[in-house]
Amino acid sequence: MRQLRAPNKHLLAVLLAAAVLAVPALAAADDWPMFQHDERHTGVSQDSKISVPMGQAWTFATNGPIRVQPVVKDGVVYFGSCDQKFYAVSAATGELRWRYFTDGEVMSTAAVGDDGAVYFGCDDGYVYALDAKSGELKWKSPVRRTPPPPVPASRYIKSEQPLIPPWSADGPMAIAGFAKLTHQVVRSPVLVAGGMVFVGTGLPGSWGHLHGFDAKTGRLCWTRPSSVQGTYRVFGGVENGPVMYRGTLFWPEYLIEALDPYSGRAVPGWPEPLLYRVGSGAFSFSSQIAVSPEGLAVAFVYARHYPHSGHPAKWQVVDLFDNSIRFAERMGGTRPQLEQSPIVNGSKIYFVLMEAKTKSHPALACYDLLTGKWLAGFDQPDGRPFNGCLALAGETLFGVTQDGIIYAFKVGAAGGELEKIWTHDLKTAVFASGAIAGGTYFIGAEDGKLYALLKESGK
Amino acid sequence: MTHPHRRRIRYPISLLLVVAVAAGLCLSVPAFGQVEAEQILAACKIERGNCLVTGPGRTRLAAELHKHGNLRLYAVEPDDASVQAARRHVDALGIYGKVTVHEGDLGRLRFAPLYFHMLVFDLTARRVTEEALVNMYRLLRPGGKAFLLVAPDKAKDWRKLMTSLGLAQCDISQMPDGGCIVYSRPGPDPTQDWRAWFGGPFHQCATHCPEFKPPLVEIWSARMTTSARHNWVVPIIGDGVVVYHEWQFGYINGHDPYTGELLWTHASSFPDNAGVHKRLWMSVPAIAGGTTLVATSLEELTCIDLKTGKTLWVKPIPADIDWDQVPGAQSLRHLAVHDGKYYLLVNKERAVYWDPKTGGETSTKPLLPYRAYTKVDNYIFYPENWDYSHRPMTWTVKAEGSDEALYTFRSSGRPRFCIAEDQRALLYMAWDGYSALDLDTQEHLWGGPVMPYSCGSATYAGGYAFATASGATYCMDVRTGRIAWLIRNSNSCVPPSIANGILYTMSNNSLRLRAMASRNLLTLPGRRSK
Repeated sequence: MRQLRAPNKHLLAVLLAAAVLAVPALAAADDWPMFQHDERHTGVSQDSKISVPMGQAWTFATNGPIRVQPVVKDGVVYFGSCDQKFYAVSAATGELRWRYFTDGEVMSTAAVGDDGAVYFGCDDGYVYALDAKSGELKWKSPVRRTPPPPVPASRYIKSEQPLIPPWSADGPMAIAGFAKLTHQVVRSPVLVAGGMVFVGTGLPGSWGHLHGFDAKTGRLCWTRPSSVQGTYRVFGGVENGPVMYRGTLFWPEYLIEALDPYSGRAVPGWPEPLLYRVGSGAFSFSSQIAVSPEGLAVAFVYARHYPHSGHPAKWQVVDLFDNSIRFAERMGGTRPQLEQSPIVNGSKIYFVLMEAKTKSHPALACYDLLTGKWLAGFDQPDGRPFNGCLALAGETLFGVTQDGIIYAFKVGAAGGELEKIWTHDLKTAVFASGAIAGGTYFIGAEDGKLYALLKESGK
Repeated sequence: MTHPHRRRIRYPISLLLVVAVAAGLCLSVPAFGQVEAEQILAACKIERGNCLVTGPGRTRLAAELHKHGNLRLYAVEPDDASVQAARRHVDALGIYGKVTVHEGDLGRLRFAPLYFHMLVFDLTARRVTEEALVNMYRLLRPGGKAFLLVAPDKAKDWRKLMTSLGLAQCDISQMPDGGCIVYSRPGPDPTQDWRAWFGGPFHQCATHCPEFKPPLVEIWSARMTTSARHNWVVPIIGDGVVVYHEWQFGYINGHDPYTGELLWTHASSFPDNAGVHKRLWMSVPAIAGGTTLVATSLEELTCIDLKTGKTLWVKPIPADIDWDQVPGAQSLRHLAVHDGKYYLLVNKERAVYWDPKTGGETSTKPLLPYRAYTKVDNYIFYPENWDYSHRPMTWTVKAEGSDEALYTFRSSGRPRFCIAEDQRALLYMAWDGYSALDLDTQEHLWGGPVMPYSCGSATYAGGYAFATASGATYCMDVRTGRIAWLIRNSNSCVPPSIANGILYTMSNNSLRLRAMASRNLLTLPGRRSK
């Protein structure tokens, strides 16, 4: 059993106070109420009904690609679409419950709070809170646009116009959309915890920000810019959302930042990281993090300052109690898959890899969380990468490729082996992540449909 | 005598007749907006793309335009109540998402610059002012059409104003409920395309676009479809498409140059013999004749249709070409375009040309018998000590047809420079950053500034050179070296490409291709800064 290190007294005090304030958001067994299931983004559902082979239970068509992870609570699936609407449909039948019009594509994964509200961000620069039952607007708050930091050299002549425009067409398939002159796009998954709503924002070339809203009123309580000056913030700002662990907010950025969720201030005593480096170059976290119950965060880093250096990407396990690196292991390439989040389940972690060069660096891998030992891998024979995030329920692990083929693997309890047990071709491209709830696997696709896959009857 | 029941029967029959006639009339009378939609589409002849429709109650027209054309419609209504009503109407038709409704007016059009293929502006209730035209020009892409509904008695005034602002390409015609003006924005200039790495046939790294000046405005960015290494992912622009290759994953993507929309993806399976690095595409693509050509790790050239992304032809690379992975060196063994054909310089004795459409191959002498040369006017630049190392290089400059060297200069390793022909300057990489020579006098114009981790050649347009270095793309005045502009851009080791007034650069941040337009491209011709 893993032994926790003694945390320093400042951190302990903050954690204790936060533990009192924060109500652990334990999802019902059949729910998937936020990005990667829970506040720690484990990607593990407690759903015991999931079983393969599956068949298509229903589809729900929208008029735009779906590029979010659907979230499920109390038998309702919530998701946004690039047709500029946010939907609630019955998880059992696919029947529309309600829809809400926005002014931009919705590419932010929603979160359903215990307060009966569903929260999501939008390309129109607003964060929305809707009544989960009726779809009525509770509040919508703009994300404050912060000017870029000053150019750190006086000799540069600045233009009369902002260097970075307020709008940018973006997305995996780069569909330009509605321009906002005063706001940034909101595409990070939303995290709801402790009566607060957290979203990340940003634009290519600009700095990312993390925002904390009062979940009840929509009041912007705080905004936190990136921690390190430079041009590396966008990625974390746009796509990455924070995780919550024991009442403390952890934001995977250039560094993993530990924040007080109510003020956005750094937790006093949070140690400076020393060992995140990849080779001799600069480094950065490249994606979401997932946190084990013991506070071990799985994160990906890669060298971005020296593109020619060839430093391989690494996955690392960071102890959130003292911000130390437990170990770092090389990944199969210089860059991990960007839009994924690892799965943390007990002592095992699962993630997908890009730039799979050899069979020893497969497309999907399972490692031991405590030792870093490689346990199993799956090599994608045609080289097509897995896209989006994995999802796990019981012994069944789901992944989907960019070409829209859903894979199910059986994960062994002892050896962690990955045995492919089922595939299903959606026959459409997928730039989204799936969710598991009520024995059903939900996933949105580029054809604008939300697919619900359920165990085939009689099998 | 009248039958007692006849009167009772007569009324229902009359009512039925009236209803039937009314129903017939309704069926024969076109729905609101249908006639206008057909006329607008006939006048504009735009069949695909994005269309903006403004004006109170014009959402119905937008829906009709969507029905009769293959357009993505954006309708703008003036207030929230109109927006909600219009949204319900469109949603009931089942087309919301393909037609969306937003709040705004001609002074508040919050859309990306150059985003629309077609505009329909209702100006019937507006005074003849410049404001609507400013927005029109900012939003309409080159080659697009604007359909302006105006009051008949003001049509000539609008036309006069437009002509005075440099918008001469417009026609006045009549609509059932008023006048209209159709403005056709001139399309992109093929001579300002960026058809191959390092620019034109002589690798000048320059584009003739005198109006391309900072400041720049980002008009879109597109994330790459995979997480390929960004090194040597070079955007190439030609024939209305931006192409880049995700060389480690076998993808080539074609994007719209003005909206960033992904037009197609060409995917190839990994070949078994692709090597441990699985580099499938071994060259930066080039564009000619509506096609794009790229070399593969199977020692083949694959030609792809720019409209569809489908393979047109595949040819083996000539055996005597010492093919290598994407060459980092300027003007040596990379695909270029000359006189509408692809060509590859084999050595100083031989060049191979391919016809873009058929793949027909011709072998001729190279344009000039020098290895890794560049030419401008009648000056020829070539390296004396060419090799693959990063050792300093000595360059010789000769007049064409003469054996006598005019002068020599030394650069840091690998030949990377750009030539500002109209400014008579040559930029090359030196140890302290970039340096510049006067083309005619050999005078050293300026040196530096130091830009850490600068890489690749600079790119020239409109009196400025754009160079990528760590964390930024620098914009320098080529005659003075003064940094006039700085674009924050997590760098890749690729110089930006400039075509038709837009700078395209690959950002390391989330691997995005960014497109930044010269502000002149968004400004009315009559209001541009000189």
